[in-house]
Amino acid sequence: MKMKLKPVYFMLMLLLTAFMACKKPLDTMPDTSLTELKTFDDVRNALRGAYSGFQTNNYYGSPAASGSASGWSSLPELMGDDFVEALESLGNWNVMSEMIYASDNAQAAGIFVQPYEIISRVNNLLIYLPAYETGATATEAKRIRAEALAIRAHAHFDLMRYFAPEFGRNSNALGVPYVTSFDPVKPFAYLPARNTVKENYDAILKDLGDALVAFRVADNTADNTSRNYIDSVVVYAMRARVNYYASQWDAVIADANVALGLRPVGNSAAYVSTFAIAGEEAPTSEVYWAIPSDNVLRPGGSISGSSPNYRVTAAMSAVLQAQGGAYVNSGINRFNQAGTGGIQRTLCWKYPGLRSFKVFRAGELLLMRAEAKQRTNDPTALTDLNTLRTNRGVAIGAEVGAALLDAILLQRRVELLGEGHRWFDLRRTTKTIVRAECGVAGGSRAANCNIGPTSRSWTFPIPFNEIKVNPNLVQNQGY
Amino acid sequence: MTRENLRGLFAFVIGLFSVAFVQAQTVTGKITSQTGEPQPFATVQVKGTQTITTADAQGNFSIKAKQGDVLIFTSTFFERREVPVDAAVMNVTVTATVNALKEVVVTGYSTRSKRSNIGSASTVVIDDIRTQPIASFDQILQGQAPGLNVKSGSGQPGRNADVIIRGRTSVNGSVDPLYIVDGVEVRAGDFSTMNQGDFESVSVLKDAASTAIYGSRGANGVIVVTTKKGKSGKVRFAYDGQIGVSTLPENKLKLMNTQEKLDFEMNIAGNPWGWSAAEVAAFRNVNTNWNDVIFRDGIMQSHQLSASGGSEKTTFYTSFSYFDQEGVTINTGLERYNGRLNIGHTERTIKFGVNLAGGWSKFRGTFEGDQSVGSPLNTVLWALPYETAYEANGSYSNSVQFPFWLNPAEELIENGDHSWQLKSTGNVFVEFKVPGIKNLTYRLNAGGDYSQVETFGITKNGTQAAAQNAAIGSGRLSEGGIGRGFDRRFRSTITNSLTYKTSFGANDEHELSTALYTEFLRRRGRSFNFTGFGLLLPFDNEAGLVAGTADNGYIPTVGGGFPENSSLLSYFGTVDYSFRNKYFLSVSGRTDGSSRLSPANRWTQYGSVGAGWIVSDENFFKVKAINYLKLKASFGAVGNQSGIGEFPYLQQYGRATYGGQGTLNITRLANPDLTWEKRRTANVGLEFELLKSRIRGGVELYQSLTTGLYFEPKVPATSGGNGVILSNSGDMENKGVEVNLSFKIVDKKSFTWTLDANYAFNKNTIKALPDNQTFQLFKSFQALQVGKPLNSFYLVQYAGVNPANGNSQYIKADGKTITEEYDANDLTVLGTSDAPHNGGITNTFNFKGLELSAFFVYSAGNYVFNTARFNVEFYQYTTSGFSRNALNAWTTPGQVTNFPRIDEATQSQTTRFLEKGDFLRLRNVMLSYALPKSVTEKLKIQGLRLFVQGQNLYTWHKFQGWDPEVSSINDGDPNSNASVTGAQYPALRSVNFGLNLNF
Repeated sequence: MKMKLKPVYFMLMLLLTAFMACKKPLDTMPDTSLTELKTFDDVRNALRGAYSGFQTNNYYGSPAASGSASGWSSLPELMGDDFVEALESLGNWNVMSEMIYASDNAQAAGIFVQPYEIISRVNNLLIYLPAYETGATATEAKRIRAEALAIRAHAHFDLMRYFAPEFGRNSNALGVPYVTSFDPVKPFAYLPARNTVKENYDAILKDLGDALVAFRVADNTADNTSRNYIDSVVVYAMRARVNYYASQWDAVIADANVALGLRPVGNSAAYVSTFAIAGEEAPTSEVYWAIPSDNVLRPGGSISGSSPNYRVTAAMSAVLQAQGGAYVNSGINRFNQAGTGGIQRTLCWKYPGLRSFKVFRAGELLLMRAEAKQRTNDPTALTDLNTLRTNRGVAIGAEVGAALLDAILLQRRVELLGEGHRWFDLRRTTKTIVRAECGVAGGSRAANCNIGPTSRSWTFPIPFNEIKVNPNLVQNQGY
Repeated sequence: MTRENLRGLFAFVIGLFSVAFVQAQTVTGKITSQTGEPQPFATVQVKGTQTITTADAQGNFSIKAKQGDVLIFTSTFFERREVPVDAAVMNVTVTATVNALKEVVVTGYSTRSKRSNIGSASTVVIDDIRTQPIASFDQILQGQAPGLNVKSGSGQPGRNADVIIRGRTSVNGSVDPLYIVDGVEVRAGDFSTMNQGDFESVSVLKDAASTAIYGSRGANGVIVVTTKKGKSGKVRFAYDGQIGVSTLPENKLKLMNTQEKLDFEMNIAGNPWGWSAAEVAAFRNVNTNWNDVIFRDGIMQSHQLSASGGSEKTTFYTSFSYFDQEGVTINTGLERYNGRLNIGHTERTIKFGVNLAGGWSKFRGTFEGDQSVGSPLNTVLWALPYETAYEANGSYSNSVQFPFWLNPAEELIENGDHSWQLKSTGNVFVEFKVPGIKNLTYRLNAGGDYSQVETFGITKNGTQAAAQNAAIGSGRLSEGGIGRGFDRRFRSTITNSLTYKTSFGANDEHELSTALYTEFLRRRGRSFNFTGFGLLLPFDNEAGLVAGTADNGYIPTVGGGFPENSSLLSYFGTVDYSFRNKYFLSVSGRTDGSSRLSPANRWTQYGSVGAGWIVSDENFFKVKAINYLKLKASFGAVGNQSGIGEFPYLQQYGRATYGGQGTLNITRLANPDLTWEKRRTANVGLEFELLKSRIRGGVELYQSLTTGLYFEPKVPATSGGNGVILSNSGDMENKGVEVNLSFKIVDKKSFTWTLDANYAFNKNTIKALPDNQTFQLFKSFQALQVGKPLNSFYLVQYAGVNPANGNSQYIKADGKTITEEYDANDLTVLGTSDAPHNGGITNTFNFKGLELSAFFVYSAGNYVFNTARFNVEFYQYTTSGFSRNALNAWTTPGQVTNFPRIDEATQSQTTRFLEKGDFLRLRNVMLSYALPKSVTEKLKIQGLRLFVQGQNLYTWHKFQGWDPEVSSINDGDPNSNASVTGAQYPALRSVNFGLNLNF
């Protein structure tokens, strides 16, 4: 059939064909990210997302030279008095270990921001969780709630350790904002002020208590074989550490008893294998909670391994060698390692490269319990100390009184060397650092050799940028 | 023919017309220029009627007209001419415009004569600059048009430039202009695999009236490129080739030599390495110039062969080119091959054609803009002059600085980065006169830009880089590894348009042209990458890898995604009206919908209006010296949605791994209210020609206001940690003035001297920030403050050294008190990193075919934070290569110096490392000789031109580094900002010889 096409129709046809291919040309959705947590499996993944926040370089990660914060792994060690900034250092942490930071210090900012990122992930998933806390998913949802609350408490406590000026259980000094809500749409509507230290403790202990309740409902069996996740044993350990900072000695003993009862210290070989890479996938029973490496986490890059920026002090090295046992095993510490400037270095070898980071393990619990017992005049304090010594292949002792307390505190330095405790212990106690190896002459890049208790630096500055965006945050004294 | 004569003729013809009646007949003829070149596709119209036709490719026309009718000949290539019909065969000679390209403005959808163009548009004379020996086309635009600010940044072959038109108009949105090649959008900064030898015209569209038809895509200005088309007639062949050498410029960051460094270490720095006297004595015999180790003279060559021609109906242009440029850094360079075929065909009322181009390039590069101890451009500065690069046996020397320094020679020669790009652009078009309706044309243009990049990086087993990974505890790379990535992107554009042109009224004094468009643009991309570990076998590719096991830990990492996934749908229309070819008015309106915004906010409407008036055509205008004067003004609004990512309004969860299991982490906070960033621009301008067009120029003033600025504000940590959210907050203004001037200073037959100059001043001001705030933090070292320009530095002011104790001194926030304590509360908002003053000057001298031109670019008023200098003046890095400035470091009380005592902690966030970025650059100087016609005729060729040119031969600046131009594109730190220099690839400086042969 012959037909004369009118131009208008012809045009219309052309226009139509041009768009035929795409009916809804502007509707696209992301292919590599989710826009909401739609299923229970998404909630599970979101919980692991909160955990993965601990792997960042601001928290437990620590690449060897970058100067990222590594706030709860390397930093408390390289700021403490058991390590010296070596001549090999690139100086990326120099401002930290000399304790001369100002309020715009980038590491301090990272330390403030990272825990809140984890906290917001937890608070976000808690919004989605109630829908699954009935029916077939109820048990697992309760367990997820327990882990989420424990993570929230732990992250807030870690913030307090840097930003609260003191640790008294009922102190009215300013702690950190305790955040329990999250709104992805209105981030500027919520500008919390700092809670007091007492309020922080109350909230932390409440979350940890609620976590234990939820674990009980979820029938937690304390059988967390991979040790990458929090179970009720970890919550007891967390609560013991919180009470330890608050000097609540009876509470420390009670929680340590539960934790050590379920997961006691291992022997020398087990201690060494805890830090061996082979032990990473199935940590020994001594480890309560470890953050897995996933081929990215290097917890001790700046203080540990064959190219450390920081070496163990000569004084500490002498203590280690005097004690011997597991502490001189080459998987824990290495001695007489040649270094720049003809210095024979002692190097902590717990985290030389890719390793899981041990957040809680029985050694710390046993020492906290020993100290708590000693401070409450419980005679079994010595028993606890000697139990640890025996399990590390170190000679036992018979100290009493002040000598026993000194021995416990010394053992704490030795046992937990390189594990992120020393600077916090100093700020809880003497607030004094005296460096014997100082300046180029002392084989060190650091030249600030004596820091006394009046230094403003014992409390970190609330980051300048955070105060700029949230004027309700009050700065710490001196900044 | 002057206008006055024309008018006389006009009156005469009207008179004739009124008395005579002559039978219509077919008039045929040929249109040629005064030199005899046929003028194809001109429009021929019988004045006062709708009778209109188009000349063919040979310039032949045929039209029905009566004796005494007046035929109007118009084209973009010659001056409009009216000729009365006096015979059946009329051969018409027209005056071709001196350089047609200089006189038309190609807007992409249409071509306008410069006379009728009322927007702000600059035409780049591509013929003058295409021979610059630079691989990336955007780089050669520097200094070519006022308001077009090009930061060349890097001398690395193939690197693209930072291109900004009339100031930065967004904070977190894109400020890249839109690039259009033959009507098809091409990705910004992706020119290293395109051949500028094929480009015929380049226009820069700047104001609202000019960019209106590009809608949201044109919010940052548009650079429109058309490629060469064939002309019917004899096939013409051309060969263009050049060969040259580039050499290392001077680094004004001076480092210590061996003697200085050893004296410094021993006497000032306190012997940080603990060298013994014997070691020092031995070191004094070594003096390595590390620049000699990793830099070289780079050879460059390029060749292009092209052919163009065609029959009456079909025309073609085709070319093939080869470009090979070695960088001045060893083992860097770019090699590429390009081909193009453009074909057009006319059949009755239908025109159709295809333009196709393909290119392949091979790039071997090195890192720029980072502060890594592995980047050779850093380690060359941080090297110790008393160490050698090679051992006596030829192996790469190890350094005492290992593992925090890697031998740059080994990094460049053994390890390194490669990429291969395949790029293809093309379009097809069909255009026909719609039957039944006169002067109604339909056009379909469909095209695409496909580009794929394969990247490859290798760390060989046994190299220092591999050993470094072992030493710092990153086990997996300790025995080498390779990474390979693949990224392919395709953006397609389909444009339908209907154009209607008419003229009416007495003598057709009203001319109207309207057009309606629909346009659909889609961008898709896909990428993947992997890194494999354990390069234990003797192959530098995947075959060298061993299988990963739990024991060896060599488990590869895999990534990838969809880098682009968005669509844009637009409907728009334009109306152009002119009255007596003297008054011009243009109106446009459109609606755009973007997939990047939520369904509720995705559509927006806006438009523009512009007007022009040729004052010099008025009878009352009697200034003899001014032979052409035009006033123009435009106002318009436009929305922007580019550079904001694909789904910025949605909360998003991204993947990660924890304990070997999957995780979902919040990667972006939601903003369902996110909408278009809006920009209003007003432009007034004046174009003039004086003294019989010996002086030509223009002045333009503009003001633009961006509202609802795209900005990623810093989220309080308590609301999501490092949370990322994009918001529409704040206003920003850009206003400025642009001047361009072309002056034929001497215009004799045997000697001419022409001066072309342009200058632009842009003032950027932040007008408002969200929630009535007056201040926001922004990137490293910078802040946003109301009343100040974007990219203003935020630093504590350095006040020199206290001679008493050698401590650094700073100025407190009050602006006068001097303190020795660094305090973040004293941070102050200072000058910007964006230069407000930019210009270009070209002098061209021509003596009997021998031409010399010298082109300078100028930029002033900005600051650069010199990170490269910080790293060689930082108190902890006295063990590395160190700045000569430190020879004056304070050592004794009373010493007046500007370098503090070396054991004082160096604060980075201070103005001590802030330097002025002003420079004047001799961008290009060229001497060429075109053989006279008498010689070329004997040689039986069309033309031969020989030239020698120097690129970047000298730069006047005071910046302590290779070059004060720093481009954000090369910055490895995403939080940094064009302003901060890390590893810097020295600017290209070269001398080339070449020839252009036409036959």
